[in-house]
Amino acid sequence: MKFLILITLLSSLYAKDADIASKIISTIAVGVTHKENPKIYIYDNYTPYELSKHKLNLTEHCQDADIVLISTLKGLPNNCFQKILFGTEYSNLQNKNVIGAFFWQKGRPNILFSRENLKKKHIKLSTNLQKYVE
Amino acid sequence: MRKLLLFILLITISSAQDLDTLLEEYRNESELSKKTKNESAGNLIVYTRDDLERMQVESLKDILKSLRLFAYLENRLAQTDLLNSDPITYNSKSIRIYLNEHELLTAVTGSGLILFGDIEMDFIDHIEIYEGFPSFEFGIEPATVVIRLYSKTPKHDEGGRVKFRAGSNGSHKENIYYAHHEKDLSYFFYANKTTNKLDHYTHDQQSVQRDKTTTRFFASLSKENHKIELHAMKVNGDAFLGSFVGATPNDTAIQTSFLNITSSSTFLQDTLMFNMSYIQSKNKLNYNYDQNTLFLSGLGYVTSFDQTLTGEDFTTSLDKKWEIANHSITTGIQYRYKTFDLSDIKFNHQAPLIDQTYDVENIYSFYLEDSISLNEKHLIIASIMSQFYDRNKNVKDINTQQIRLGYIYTNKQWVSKTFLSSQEFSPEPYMTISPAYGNSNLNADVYTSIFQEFTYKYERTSTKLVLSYGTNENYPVYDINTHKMENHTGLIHGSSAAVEWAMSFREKDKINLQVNYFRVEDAYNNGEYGNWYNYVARMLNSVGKYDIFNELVINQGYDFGKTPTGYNYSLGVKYNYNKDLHINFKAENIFDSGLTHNYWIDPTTNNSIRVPTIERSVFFGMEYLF
Repeated sequence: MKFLILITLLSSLYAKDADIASKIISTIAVGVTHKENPKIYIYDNYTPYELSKHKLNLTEHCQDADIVLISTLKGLPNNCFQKILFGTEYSNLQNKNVIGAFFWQKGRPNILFSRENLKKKHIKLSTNLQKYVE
Repeated sequence: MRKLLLFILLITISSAQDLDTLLEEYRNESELSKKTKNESAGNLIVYTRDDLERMQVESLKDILKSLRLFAYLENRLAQTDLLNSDPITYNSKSIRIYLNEHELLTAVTGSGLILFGDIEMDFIDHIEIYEGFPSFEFGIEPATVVIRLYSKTPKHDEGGRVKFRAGSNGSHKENIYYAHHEKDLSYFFYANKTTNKLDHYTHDQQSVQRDKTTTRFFASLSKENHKIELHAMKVNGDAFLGSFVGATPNDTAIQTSFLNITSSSTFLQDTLMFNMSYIQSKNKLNYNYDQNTLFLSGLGYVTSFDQTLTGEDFTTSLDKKWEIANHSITTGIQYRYKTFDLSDIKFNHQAPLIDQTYDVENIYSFYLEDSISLNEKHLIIASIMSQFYDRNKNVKDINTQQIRLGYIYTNKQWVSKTFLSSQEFSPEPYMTISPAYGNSNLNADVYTSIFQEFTYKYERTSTKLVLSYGTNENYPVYDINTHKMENHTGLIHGSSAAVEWAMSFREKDKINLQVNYFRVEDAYNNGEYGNWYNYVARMLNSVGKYDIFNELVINQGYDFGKTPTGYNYSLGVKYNYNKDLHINFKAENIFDSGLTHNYWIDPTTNNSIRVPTIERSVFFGMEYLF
């Protein structure tokens, strides 16, 4: 019950960035998996930016996921490597198992897919995501 | 169920088609100012990162020149002093400045605005300015205005940037920053060199100048809930007119070094904050005069003056927040140790006997603030704070108290803020021990004030009215008879009114109009009032790859009507070649008709010099992100 008045003034804005980030992740997940409502697993339950988790179709187990959000590959269970791995940091793209990432860099949010890694995983992106492939 | 899923898919796809728009929206909504600002802490003015970038704000000076109720002024050593009352060196002790969680200060002046009023903004993400005797949770001592600078963060600024800028009189600036973020460890570092060359003025056959070169290094290292920062600065330059009244110097110099090491930790879901800060500062001054021009009482004719001022501060604070029912309670205990030495002085290369009345000050401070939400529309704030200033060498200790009451009403379109406060401000060492005019018997001065702010928002417009009235008791003034600072006898009255209107249009364009008026009693002439007006018109446009900035600042009535009205028109154009390469042009005070400020050379003969507070300048720059 923190500062009700400030909730009115500000907190709607607090949540707004997390809502939009979730919307971006959902859009990417649909465009990568070509599923209507893909299941998302967040490794280590950590992302460097806030997400409105209730707005995502999350699963608690990696094996049930269609796409796995990672910030690091350290300690990632083996069965997760079979899944589509999508990064939340630019550095994640250095690993060939990670097909792309949504991350902050140079003061702005970016989406980037690795052509090589997509090819290796035999993934074809939806049209709206293809402009982010490099 | 299938229809529902199809509907979700359609919505998702339609959003997906506009992923770039979503990214831009996300960038705007992720502005760090939205996380850090506190609307209930005072009369708030925010400059977001987008504002700073599109306005091409190069230094804090660019913001202070249009600050509500103030104009950008400097002291006779060419250091920032918004409330300058020449020939007193510094009169802005109550305007406090912070970098992230920690106050930038010097042991001698208290407030660090004197050193950081023109700090470059290249490593700053956003600025919050709280006017109207803001919340006590900001710091160990009270303030009339709090300026909070927030540095760029590794989380948002992974990568680096190099920047180069050059312009009028051969001035130039170069800087670089680099940031890296990982889950466990983040770092940010920044290095800058600014060489600022201004016009030289000939007065009494002497050339007076205020050029300077500033070198800065800032680094932060974060791990989980802990952060350490290092901030170092060196300034080499001219000391303009020097501290003394009586003659124009033929040469002046100032060398400043500043080192700040801080740590910040949070615990218990960020409800417990523990901060520590160590500061070391040093100022070396040198003024030279022609033979038989500067006569100082008790010293005779002086041809050279050298002084080294040194100071150290250590501050630690522990703050705790609780949410109990509809109460949000914040309390904190804080301790500050200050040591300072102004006694290293030489006149004509000879050291006189200086008896510095005290050189150590221990400040113990406590505050308690309760914000009570009556319902979704009404909030009441009650705060108390107290400090005990323990000084060594048998100089009297000082105990100060502050009380602040607030009421905030809000609905979808209206916000009303009312703040009442009574606050005692302890005199800072430069007023108590200065060999020129110090008086260690000075008492605390007391501000009593009421601020009322109304904001009305309608569609893409915002209209704001801010009214204030206040009195000051025991205001420190320079006594021309005793040549010392003395407490003014009687109350000094002041009042202000400000109207602001802002509108955003098209995608990112903004227009902002301000009129503000300040009326204050002259502490040196009982019953006389000064009335000054500031008018600001600012427009920000983004057209294709260009960001265009236009600003006109009019300052009228300063120095009790003796200063001619200043018209400062600035224009900036930024060309964004691509996301990573930007080329810019900015011109300040284009018509060379901005505000000027008068400095006394010798009041007994009415000898003074008037110079622009911000000179005409033109700069070209380039920045590249990597």
